[in-house]
Amino acid sequence: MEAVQNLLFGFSIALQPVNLFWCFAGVFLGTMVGVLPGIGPAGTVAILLPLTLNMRPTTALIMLLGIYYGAKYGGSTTSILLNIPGESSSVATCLDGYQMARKGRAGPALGISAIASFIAGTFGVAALMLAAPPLAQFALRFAPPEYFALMFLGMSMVAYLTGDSLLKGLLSAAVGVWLGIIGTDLFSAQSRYTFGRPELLDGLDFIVVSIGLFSIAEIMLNLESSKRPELFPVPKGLKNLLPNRQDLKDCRFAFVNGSLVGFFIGMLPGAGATIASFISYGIEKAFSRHPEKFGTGVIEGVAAPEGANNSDAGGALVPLLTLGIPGSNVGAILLAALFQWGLRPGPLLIQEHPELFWGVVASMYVGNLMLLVLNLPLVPLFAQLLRVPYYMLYPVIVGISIVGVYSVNQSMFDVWVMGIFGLIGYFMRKFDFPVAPLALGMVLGTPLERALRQSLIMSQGSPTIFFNRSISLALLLLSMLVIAMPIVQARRRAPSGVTVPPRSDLS
Amino acid sequence: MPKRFHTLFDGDLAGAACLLALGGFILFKALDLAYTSDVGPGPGFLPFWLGAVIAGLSLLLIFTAARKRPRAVQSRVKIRSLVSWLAIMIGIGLLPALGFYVSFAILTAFFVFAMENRPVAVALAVAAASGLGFYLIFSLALGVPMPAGPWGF
Amino acid sequence: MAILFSACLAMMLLISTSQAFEPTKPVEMIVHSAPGGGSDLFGRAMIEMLQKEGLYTRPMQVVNKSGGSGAVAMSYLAGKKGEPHTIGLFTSAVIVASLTQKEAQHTIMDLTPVAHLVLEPSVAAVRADAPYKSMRDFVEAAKKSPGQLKQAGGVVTSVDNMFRLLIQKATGAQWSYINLPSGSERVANLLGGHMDLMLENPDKVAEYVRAGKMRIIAALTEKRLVAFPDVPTIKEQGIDIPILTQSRGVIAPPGIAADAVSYWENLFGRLTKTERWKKYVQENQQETYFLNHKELANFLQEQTKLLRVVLSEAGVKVVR
Repeated sequence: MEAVQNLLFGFSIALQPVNLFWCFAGVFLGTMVGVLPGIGPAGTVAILLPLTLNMRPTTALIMLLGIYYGAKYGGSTTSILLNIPGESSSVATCLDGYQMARKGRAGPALGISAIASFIAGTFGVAALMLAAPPLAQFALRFAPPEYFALMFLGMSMVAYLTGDSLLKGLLSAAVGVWLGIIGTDLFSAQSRYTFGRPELLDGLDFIVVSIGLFSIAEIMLNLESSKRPELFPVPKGLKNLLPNRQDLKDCRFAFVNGSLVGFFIGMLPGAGATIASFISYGIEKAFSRHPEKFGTGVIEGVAAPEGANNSDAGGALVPLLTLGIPGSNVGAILLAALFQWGLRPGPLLIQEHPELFWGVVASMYVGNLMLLVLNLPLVPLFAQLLRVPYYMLYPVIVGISIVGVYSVNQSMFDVWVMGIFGLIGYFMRKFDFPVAPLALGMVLGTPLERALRQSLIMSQGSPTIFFNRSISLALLLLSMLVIAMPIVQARRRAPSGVTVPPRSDLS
Repeated sequence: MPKRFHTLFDGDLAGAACLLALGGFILFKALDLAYTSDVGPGPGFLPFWLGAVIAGLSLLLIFTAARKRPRAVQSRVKIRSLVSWLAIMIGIGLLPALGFYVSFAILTAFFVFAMENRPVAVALAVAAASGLGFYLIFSLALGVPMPAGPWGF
Repeated sequence: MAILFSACLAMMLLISTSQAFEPTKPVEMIVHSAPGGGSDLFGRAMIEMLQKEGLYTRPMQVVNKSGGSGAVAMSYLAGKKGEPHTIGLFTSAVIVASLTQKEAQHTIMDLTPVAHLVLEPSVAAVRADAPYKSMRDFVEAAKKSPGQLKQAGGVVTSVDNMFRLLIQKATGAQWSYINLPSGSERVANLLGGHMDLMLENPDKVAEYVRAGKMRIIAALTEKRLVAFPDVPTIKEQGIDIPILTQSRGVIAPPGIAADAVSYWENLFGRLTKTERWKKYVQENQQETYFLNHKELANFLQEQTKLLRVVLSEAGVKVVR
């Protein structure tokens, strides 16, 4: 019952008016930052850091963390409404979220992403609270071979992200991997495929490429004809603007999947929310009873990645608070902040400053609740945005894309890259090449190659290293299962598939 | 003649041809990078296989596409889309010289007037209104840096 | 006559203003890392100290130009030719990158050196339950089973790898080097028992030492560290290698007036003498090492000369 006592102690800190106020300020600001593409939580936290130096460390950390997980709530908004991913961890949300909006279900999509974020975010905090130290010990068991197996598992999801043609899906993924490896090689300091451009030495930015592939290409497709049918039907009545009971039922598995996958991958300093969101999307599709409908606007396809990228926040705090190991840019800034406040982040932090740990944990329960209350009423409001006639809306989409991309690195080069990928995305759509495998390949390709080479250096060239370590072996077996499953399912379905017509969504 | 036009836009074939070229390029460039290092795979290991896989798969795609050619899906690439893309690219090209707001206003006015056939007045109104909206949200409220022209915005 | 007179006056005014440059516009401090990166945090901390000490109270802000270990930031600074309201930060990684990147259109050598500020020492750390009590122990163990021990390190051009090669050359031992992109992953792999050795800045490992999770087996410095007076230096352990350090300092665009250079040089010189600075440097286990414009120019020359040799020996292609 120590946990309950500690939690009560935490709430006694988190519910102090000053902490409540700053918690709200943080999550509110985070939501705003998340909604607008380009300006991300890392930059915002860095800018606000000096303002927090006169606050008490716990209060300041409560606010800064509010920005961090608040931004994850907001990130889905533009993905769903305009097909502009707000953060790189919301790219997976575009796949089904935008299609839902096109079917007139923008409201339920936004609503479910707030609900999934709340459930997974709360799960993340609960896991952090109950088991942070043992979980951190578990995360430490991940070395390069385990990362390799994990990335391999992620890659095997390609089998689920292809459209009609497996061949085209694989090609798309391979090109994605190639885009990912552009830049300086960590092992030899040699540059690969940089075309002599210094801007490419650090590689292509995933969010920049995604905004081109998704939002610019989408505009080109929509402009094919001057006489378009209404793009976004917006149903009247509040009832149709929020998820209904059936939607929630459909998302039961997605809530669990997103919570677990996001938290687990969030704990690993070498992975992150983007990888988590794609893997949970893949898992959702793999276990779905109607995988063929993914990509056409199914609600689980929004709930899973959105949940994953929120429970990632709880996961990322495990190594940060228990061991002083940050897993992301935001984590690194918070670590520096703890130093500046005179605290010493490391293995002794929780022991020496229990008020900080428990106060923060309790504030995250409160913050997640605030975010749900803040975001759900915003849903009908945001959905109204689609009532704007498309001829006025799409120049704005182009504008937001440009500003969003430019503000990532303040680089014109990135804006050009976005434009070029707009054209590529258009032709991919026209030639029926799926975009999702390319995104997956780009996210996982570099970590996969790195982990492979790191592992082989560790084992001095012997590939047995992947099979005589239990976690790595388990993950590899799981990937085999994942790859084999569509074949098995196809076999099983084949005889009955002739007699049973495709199930409709309404059943 | 029309038949040729169609094959040109057979999505599988056109895509595969582009990818074959890309695969060849990746493979060719990978030869400059060391395939192995003294400690396992080198910087050229993955690029080599990527290039080979992309080239191989696109060849396979060309064969399968050629086989089902009579009923191949025709993808029509629309001139309107390409024009809108060009407009966006020109808009981007104007950014360093004219700054975000002016280039964005020109681009918006072009879209509304030329692409959507709305009256000039509507085009200008939309351009001005959305420019103001951007200013209020991004510049004023959030202080997001924008490409600036010689006049400072 | 009147025209001539006023022209003379204007010229005199020009001369007199150019003798004492004072910033009149908001100043941009270009850093080559993203928010949260080392230079970014260092830059933000310095601006805050400048303002709190009242040394510089006008607007000055960090601008992140990340990409290619400084290549993008150097290009940006080179493009601001003659603009005294832009300054930038450099690190040793930027100097190394200037030698190895053929893509970089501009390197640190094209810019105006302003001031060298701090040196960051490295220490060698192992897990607390590892059998090695000193670097000598580690070297002996590595000699017994060549290639079996593993060091967690950064990119091949990083100072960790240079030190490894120098120590291996001096002692004849061999161990492997696993490149991990982030400090977080290096710490996690060491604590997890997957790797055996890590070279880091002392502030990054101090907490693990205090918590009894890690042990420092050598200070890779000329003198013992103030924070770890019991840890012998590498030379005390009989391993004689040149000491490499990580530098941090300030640079400016090319072609800026001499008075602007001395303005910035003086400003940062004054900063390094404040108590607040001393406390910051001590907390971060750095060492103040101030060099002015001229000294920094020489320092950069010497560093590149040394690095060319070390990098070539590490098997890295030097392009400049």
